[in-house]
Amino acid sequence: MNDIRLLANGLVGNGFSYRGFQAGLDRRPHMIGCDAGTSDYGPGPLGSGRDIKPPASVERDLEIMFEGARRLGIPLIIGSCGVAGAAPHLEGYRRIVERLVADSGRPCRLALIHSDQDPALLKAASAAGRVRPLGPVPPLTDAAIDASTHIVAMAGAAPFIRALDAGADVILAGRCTDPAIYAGLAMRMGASPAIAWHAARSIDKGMLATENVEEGSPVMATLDDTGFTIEPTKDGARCTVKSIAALTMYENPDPWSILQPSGRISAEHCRFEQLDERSVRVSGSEFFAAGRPSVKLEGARPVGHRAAMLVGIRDPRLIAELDDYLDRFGTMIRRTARSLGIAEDSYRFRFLAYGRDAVMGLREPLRDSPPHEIGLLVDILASDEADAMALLARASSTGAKLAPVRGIPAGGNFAAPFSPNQIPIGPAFEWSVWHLLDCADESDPFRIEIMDLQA
Amino acid sequence: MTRLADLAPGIKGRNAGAAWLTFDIPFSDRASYERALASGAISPRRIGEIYAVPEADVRVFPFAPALALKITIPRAAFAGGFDESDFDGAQQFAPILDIEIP
Repeated sequence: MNDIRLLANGLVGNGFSYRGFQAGLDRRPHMIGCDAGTSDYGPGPLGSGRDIKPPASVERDLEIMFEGARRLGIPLIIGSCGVAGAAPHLEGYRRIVERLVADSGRPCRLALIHSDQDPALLKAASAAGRVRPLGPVPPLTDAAIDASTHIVAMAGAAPFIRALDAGADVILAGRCTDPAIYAGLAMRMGASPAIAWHAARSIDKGMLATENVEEGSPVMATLDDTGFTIEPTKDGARCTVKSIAALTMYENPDPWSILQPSGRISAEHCRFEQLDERSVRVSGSEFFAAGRPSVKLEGARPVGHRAAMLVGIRDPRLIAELDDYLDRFGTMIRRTARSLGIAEDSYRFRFLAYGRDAVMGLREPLRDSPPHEIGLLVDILASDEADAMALLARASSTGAKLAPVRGIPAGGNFAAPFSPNQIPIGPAFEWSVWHLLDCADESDPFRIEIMDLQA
Repeated sequence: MTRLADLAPGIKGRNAGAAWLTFDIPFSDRASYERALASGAISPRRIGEIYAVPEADVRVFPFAPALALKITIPRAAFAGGFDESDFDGAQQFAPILDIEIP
């Protein structure tokens, strides 16, 4: 097998070094890849169908990568378009590529990998026992499927291989695993699954593979028959055994078992070796094929509209009796809701006491160490924005005028940083589907659409 | 007194899926890694005490190539619900900074 070179950026919309990217192109890579998705931001992007990266940054990143890929005549492969990788996100990216083709005068064959799941097919799969919870979530119900605005499956390498077989110059994928965009091309060119997957996993976070992440350097993986080498492409950036090995562990519960639709990557018997001051050699990677493939499903459903306010509390007497104060405040909010005719089961609220235990909740070991200042977030979820804002506005005046401590006359409990201080957060979402779908062929849940874009 | 953060300043934590939290603890050098490992201070029992989770639910992986330990524990609640305060699980590692390493 001849060397296979994969050029990688981290996340569309987060930027990268232009100079480093051009230096990467000089090395004649066989593809350019960039992930665009994550579930780290929670269910909002999937539920709302909206990208949350700034459009100008997304367009800039795609334009530079598109220009480089078309100039070299190599595939550009983007994974999990628009953060969540559902139909509206993919459509947004398709429009950008159409515009790039028109502006640049460079025609291309575009492959779209659609990850959206048909509710009827999913119900049938679930009824047939082919859907399993992924972690401590309830079994998938038809009601959960119906309540979801979008449900996507995470593609592995197989749909990418099919898109490349169809002659795609640019692949825009809906939801997929981060390394799949590289592993498919590498295996198609002859790399072993173990080397293809582990190399892909080592570059799929782009600049995070380097020691100086702020340099924004793209990274390149060079694969051969016995392993792979990772290096940054920008002068002055470095990959080290630590930076590369750390990526193998990152965001995975178990470094010996990094799950993909077709099997699992293991780094248990890996060797990492510093080749020179900037590149790292990896060998001994393993890949264990699954008995039958399974893809992860993600779905999000709307749960109402949210409104919130953040207020500062500095009165040490109130802070000392905060739990009692919040009890009384909560009672007042429920009373207000009744007076506004807002049904009890149609809204929820919570208080987060920043400075005390907002971040860690019941796990906070320092909960009883009194702070001198509290940032109190009052968060209200109601069935529509009008209810949420009405309840919040009333809570704002009620909470400010409540006795700070029983028996002490009310003064004004809240330091407000904004005017007005009540913020409509918008529609809120929850994960409704977080499951595994067993399939006969891992390409089955995905639809590949090929279109020839003329300049 | 040596704290874990003195030996591994690059400690970070993230969700590993919506059900798990995982802490990556890269040590500054091999001696620190081996010292921490040999001390037994970072045990499932100790981590379980800090986060109030059963010892059996705590997994600790020594990952020698990265000179790192990896700890995986269940999240307090499945990620992304109404009560979520750390969608990405980014700040739950703080208490382990202070674990004393003999």
